[in-house]
Amino acid sequence: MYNLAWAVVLLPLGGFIFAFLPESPRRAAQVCVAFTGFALVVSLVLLGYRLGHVHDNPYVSTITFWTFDPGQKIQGGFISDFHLQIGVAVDALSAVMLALVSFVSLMVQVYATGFMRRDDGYTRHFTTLALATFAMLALVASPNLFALWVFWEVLGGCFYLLVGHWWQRPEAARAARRMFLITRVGDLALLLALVVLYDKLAAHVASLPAAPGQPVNDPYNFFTLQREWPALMAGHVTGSGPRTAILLALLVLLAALAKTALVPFHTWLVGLFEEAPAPVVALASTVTMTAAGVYLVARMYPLFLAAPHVMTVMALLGAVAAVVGAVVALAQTDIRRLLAWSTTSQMGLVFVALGAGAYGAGIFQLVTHAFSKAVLVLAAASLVSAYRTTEIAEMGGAWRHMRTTSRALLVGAAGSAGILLLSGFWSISAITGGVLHNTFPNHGHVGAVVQAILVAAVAVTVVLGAIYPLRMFFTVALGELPRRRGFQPQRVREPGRRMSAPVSILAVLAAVGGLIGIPQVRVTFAHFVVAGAAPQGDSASSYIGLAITAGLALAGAAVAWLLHAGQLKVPSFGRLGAALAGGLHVDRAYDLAVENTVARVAPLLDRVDREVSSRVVDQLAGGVTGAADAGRRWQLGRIDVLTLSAVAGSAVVAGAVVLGATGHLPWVGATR
Amino acid sequence: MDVGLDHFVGLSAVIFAVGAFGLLVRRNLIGVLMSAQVMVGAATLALAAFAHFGNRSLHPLSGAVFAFFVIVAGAAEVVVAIALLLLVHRRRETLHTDELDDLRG
Repeated sequence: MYNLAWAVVLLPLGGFIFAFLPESPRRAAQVCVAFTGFALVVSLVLLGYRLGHVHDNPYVSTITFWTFDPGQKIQGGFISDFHLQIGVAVDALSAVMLALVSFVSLMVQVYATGFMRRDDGYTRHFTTLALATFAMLALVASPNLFALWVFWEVLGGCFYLLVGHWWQRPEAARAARRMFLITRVGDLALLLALVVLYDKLAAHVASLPAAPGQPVNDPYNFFTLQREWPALMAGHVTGSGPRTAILLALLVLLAALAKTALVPFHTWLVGLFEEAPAPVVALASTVTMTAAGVYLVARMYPLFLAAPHVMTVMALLGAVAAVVGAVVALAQTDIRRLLAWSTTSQMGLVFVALGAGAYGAGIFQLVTHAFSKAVLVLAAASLVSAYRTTEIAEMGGAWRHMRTTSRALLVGAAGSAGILLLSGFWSISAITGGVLHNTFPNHGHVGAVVQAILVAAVAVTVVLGAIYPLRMFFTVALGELPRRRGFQPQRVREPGRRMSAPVSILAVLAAVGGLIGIPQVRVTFAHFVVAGAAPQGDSASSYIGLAITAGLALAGAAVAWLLHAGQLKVPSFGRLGAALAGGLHVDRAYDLAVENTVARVAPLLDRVDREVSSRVVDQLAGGVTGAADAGRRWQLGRIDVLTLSAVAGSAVVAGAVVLGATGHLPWVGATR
Repeated sequence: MDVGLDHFVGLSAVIFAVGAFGLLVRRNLIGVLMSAQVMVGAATLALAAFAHFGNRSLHPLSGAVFAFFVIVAGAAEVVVAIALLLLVHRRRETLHTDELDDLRG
């Protein structure tokens, strides 16, 4: 039954391949949508089966595509018997993620059939979306860190293409390049983690009794490693100890931060929101790029539990991202930039939860955020194309003219704000409860001061996180249609069904999706993803978390309404306000840093390349050409000469064979 | 005198040498083609002889089958070759190998 995961992973790849067959772009898009739809159906079947078998061991199925066997095992050295494997693994976490990724990807692709309909790169867009979906599904199904890294890179490459979809525009090309380079930092960290892991643990893991059906243990296998981290911490592994675990955890955390666009790597997210097509934004910010980082941390969670200091670092970095993201989002006037910063803020909350030991709450927040943020991004895209502007202040009256989209926007905004009973409420209150409870699954906890900081950060994020989306909604939906030169009021109407239907479906889930995680029900989401382990968070902190979140979010909503009604005035804060609106100028700082270092060295290297490397290569090529010219003279093209040389050559070969066979050539080894 | 394998192989070698000599000395392309066919015939003869006198576990006709295939393939080959020669002759008014050096490098 679990081998259905292969189908889930490979179906979008099939969509990518078969979309090249049809002639018409429309048909190609339909192929991609159909294959992703099949993947969704299969992944739901898989999830349902896993729900019925909560206590099953993880299912692992692998293909070994490269075996490294130096002939002898060198214990404790760099080299040991080693099999590189890719494959699928199904446990509760990957079953949930497979369903989530294929669902959101399907909705996004359906939306894109409408949104991109007059685009020249229609087929290219859909095939790349299908490939990105495949990469993310393969990533979440990966049974080991190596396979995860492979698809991590594939995913980054796909999104370089997707963000640069309108590459003719220099800004779009720049945004794609920026995203690729910044996430590259994380990729490098992950690669280093792979090297360190292999160096320190491969020999130890290979010496363990092999898993059933495997000739040798894969040193990257998550489920093997999971059991070995405590041994590593206890010093039972030769040549490594707690410092190894901390180094590995820091490298993995760095990789996750870059992919999830947390401070200080958040700058690529703004470019993505401003320049990429809306379906790409919806996919990247919910279930692929940002989710990949969270998923990496969730997968390597036993490692983080073994290195509790890194957990604290993770929680604090998440808190910084959550608060900074929320504050900067408050200062944004552009709807796309507002959503970008809100993504950073919400992902920060996920990291707070993971760092404070509330693993289930973190994953739960990832799921509800995927629903509400996808709704917000897609609805905002419909609004932007109707109003022909991205400025929130230049929109208005959408409730009367675009009722379906406005309703979805309301659900998305209120859902991400954590308003009572909507999806975000349950996940954010689970995070609040988890931070208050402050107990790791391995009975650790963060320090009291850190806990106080985290509680304060979560509280601030919840209040601000309710203000900015609802204020945006009030401005966009209420009031009258704007009056400005060149504005066409007749354009403000509902988009076609292909665009409004997926947004509505996502909105329904953003409303009720949180019900899977009501605390203290017998089997809730958090219990499920920790695979039947003891429930996290006691009832008291869960209920306090619910109460605090409800109160703070409603207070934030009230402030948002007062701000909209003009009864509260925001001071402009002068230069500080400008800095906030500009995102604290972190991207400018990066630009300066790059200009003063890399950009200075690059011309030098360019000259070295031209004057030295190119010249050497040119000389080599010239030598080859000259030798060829000299050789051509001997080609007379005379048939008699050609036949003579053929006969003579055959005679030499035949003579050598005869002499060799009769033992007259001493250097031809007599074979028997 | 018993006719054995040696006699057939010897005959085959002589025919092959005749064909190779013709291949080298003939200046007319039709002669060259005929010489090549003689060489193929010599090789076929050797094949059939080895099959007949050689390994007894083989089917007695296995060598003959191969010889037959070679003859059929040779017939097809000659058809193509003659057609090519005809075209060359039509275009160049000659079949003399000294004058046909289009393969010059």
